[in-house]
Amino acid sequence: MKIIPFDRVKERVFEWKTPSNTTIRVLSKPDFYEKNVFLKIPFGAIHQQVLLQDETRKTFPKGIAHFLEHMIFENTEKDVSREFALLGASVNAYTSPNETVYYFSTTDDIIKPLMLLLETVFQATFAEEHVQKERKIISSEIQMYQDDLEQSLYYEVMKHLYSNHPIRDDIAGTKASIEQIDSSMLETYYQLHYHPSMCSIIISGDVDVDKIQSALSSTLLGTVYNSPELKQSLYFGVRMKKETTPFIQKTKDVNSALWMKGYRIPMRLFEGRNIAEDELRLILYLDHFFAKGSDFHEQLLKKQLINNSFDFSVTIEDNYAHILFFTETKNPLATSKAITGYLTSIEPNMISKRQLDRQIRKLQGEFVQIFNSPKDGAALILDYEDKGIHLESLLAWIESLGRNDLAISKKWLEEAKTAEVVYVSKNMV
Amino acid sequence: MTTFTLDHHLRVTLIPSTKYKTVGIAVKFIADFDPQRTNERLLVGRILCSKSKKYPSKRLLQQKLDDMYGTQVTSHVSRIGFQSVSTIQAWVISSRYMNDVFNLPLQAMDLLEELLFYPYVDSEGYFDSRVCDEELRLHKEEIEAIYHDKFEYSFQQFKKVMFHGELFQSSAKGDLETLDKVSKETLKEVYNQMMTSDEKELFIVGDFDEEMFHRHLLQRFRFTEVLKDRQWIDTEGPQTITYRDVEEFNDLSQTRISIGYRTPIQSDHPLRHAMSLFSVLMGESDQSILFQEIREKSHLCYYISSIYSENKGAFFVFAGVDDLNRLQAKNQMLTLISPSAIDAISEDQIDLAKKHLIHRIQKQSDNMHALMNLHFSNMKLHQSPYNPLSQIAAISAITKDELREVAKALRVDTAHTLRNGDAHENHTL
Repeated sequence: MKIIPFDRVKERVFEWKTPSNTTIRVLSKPDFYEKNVFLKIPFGAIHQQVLLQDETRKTFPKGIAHFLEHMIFENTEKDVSREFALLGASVNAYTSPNETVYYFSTTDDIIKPLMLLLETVFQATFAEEHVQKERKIISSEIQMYQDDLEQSLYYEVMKHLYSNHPIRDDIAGTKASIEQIDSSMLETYYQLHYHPSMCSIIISGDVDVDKIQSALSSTLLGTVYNSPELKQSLYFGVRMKKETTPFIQKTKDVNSALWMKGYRIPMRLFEGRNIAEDELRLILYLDHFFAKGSDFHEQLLKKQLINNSFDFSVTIEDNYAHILFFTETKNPLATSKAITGYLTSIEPNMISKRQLDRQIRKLQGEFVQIFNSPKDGAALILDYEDKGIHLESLLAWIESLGRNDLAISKKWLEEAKTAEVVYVSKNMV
Repeated sequence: MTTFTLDHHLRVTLIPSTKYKTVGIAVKFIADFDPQRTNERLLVGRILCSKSKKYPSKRLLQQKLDDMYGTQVTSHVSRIGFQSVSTIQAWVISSRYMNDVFNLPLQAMDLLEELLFYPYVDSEGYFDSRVCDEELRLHKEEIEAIYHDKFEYSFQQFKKVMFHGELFQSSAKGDLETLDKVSKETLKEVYNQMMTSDEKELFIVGDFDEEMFHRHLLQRFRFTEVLKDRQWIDTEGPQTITYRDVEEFNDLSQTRISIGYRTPIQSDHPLRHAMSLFSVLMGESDQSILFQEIREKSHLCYYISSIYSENKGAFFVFAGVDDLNRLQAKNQMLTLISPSAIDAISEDQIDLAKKHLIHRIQKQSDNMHALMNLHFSNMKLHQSPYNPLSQIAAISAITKDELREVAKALRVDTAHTLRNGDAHENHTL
């Protein structure tokens, strides 16, 4: 077991590998009632196609990872949620594009629900009648999200930004795609992706690390497994849209227009680079020019081109990278023109040392604040450490940043392809 | 926790704890709830947090906050019974981080005082017209955007029907109906009322030096103190309850059902804990009766939940269903919320609900924001500091007979269904 100090945020993490090659981390949070456990399977909604060790390829319907997440709790032998509740724990899960995470929180003993979580995730059963039942519930979930206009807008942008990358697909799939999923398909997907050696676990709270280590050694994680059958999880023929997509306008039942513009950055620009650092680099660059407190943000407000919903996000993962701008606006054309024009005009040398220092301080403060919550702290570590990024080193890197370190952001933006979608009311057309 | 009153009559509550990494400093302004002044109370908070004499633009204030490691200054308004509570607060990282030589928490307190006592006003005491216009526009667009959020929109429409003519129908966060009446005169009037006629309380929670803050406070926040008897429980309601079943139409995919009940069991009632437990048992967890029967057994929905409002004496149940299933789902919901449903519940189910509620209370005690608000409301409603242990003891002692009693006390008032279609089809069934 090693102890990883996070001196800047006055935290420490215990880390070890089990015989199954599973990474376990514990964020010790004395005095907190709440204890959390997150178990991460490093596959999510975009992992629809796989290459096996024998070079066979398999393709699964959209939404299968999310369907499986639902089915993990549909054990034929027992009512899993009830078992957790009896142990004083609330269990849940989520599927994101890249991962599926099972988690519980409790204020009681952590060992028994932890054992139950491992059994639930790694000893799942798939009965066809449960699949039928869950399909109806997922169908209702899909229907619910159809009324979420911001989510709908996001997927519209993704569809125009990416030609055939699965990031463009709704995480839950479609009503048609989930119709294709049956118990044997779920079993196949499960066997390929849910291997103990590929998962990682993080625990946070006022817990006894030695007790956890000892308890885990007598579970299925205490066993050495054969290598997974899965050689690579991939998607075939990923291509970028060649042409810049024009401004797409759709009529919806809205009071203000909802506008979103995406910039897709080619992955070749990140080859051999640390993408976590690059993500923060780009966040700092855009934050300088667009965040509250910037000259341009003030101008956009004065011209009534944005409101409090204005936001931008940066996502850089192993196989996709994009920036998204979003706002409600009464004048989408003018908003688009102003933001697009400004983005092309900004230069790294417009950032002063004083301004960069201020942004760095803000970011440092945000990192400290996250650890007010055992749950948020654990989620942050889960996100970074699994990518091989040590939080303490990342914070040290942030402190050392100079203006020149942000200069590359300009190039990424110049090479990005865009897609822009706006939802307007009938009156605005 | 320490509570004391300063010489200048300001009541102060200090909740120190080293488990947090930040310090929260909040001033609460309490006044009788006036539905004609909800917009102004919200806007004054925002205007005060946008600039001051020393920081005469949003940009300059934001830069100051960023320099202070991302300190946040926010305002919000809520209603408890017949009282409006405006909170203006600062959240800052503790001095133990980032080699803080400037004592950021004390700086944050001074900044909060600057914002409250030295606003950016002209020689006649009016707020700057540009900032008023801007905040007014942003506020208006925020209210309009509720229409895009079908969860919130359906609840808003439901409240208009169930609480027609009652204060509870009005949002503490303002409304479009009275927005035209907002002027620089009314904003000045409300600000002056807040500073002179409102009751004030100061809360400090987190990792701070209690003695140092106490000393510092002696010279700060010299308000004119006002104490009066206040009504913290909403006692409005019809003499007789006539069940209404209303359908409304809107552009949406999923039908939203909201059902409202009235109960005489409010925050001052001996059965209030039993009523909270009843709500958990019915719809606040995945083990609840509504979730198990309507989602897990009948597969009619993805989400279904309940809420108990102890200040109003109301109990709500919500679900999102396919339109074809709306009548079946609604009838099941109405049937399940009954004293006979309690008869069918096992002691095990009650114990599970108790565990869930106790777990939630303990988790809330970990959260700084929740802790501050729980202390405040407990002092107002029960004249004693918030004590999670006494709450847990009270919940543990609840009997099945008490649950039966709270179920008997419920009176169904309104069922509201929001369906896809043209608004002109709205009708009462």
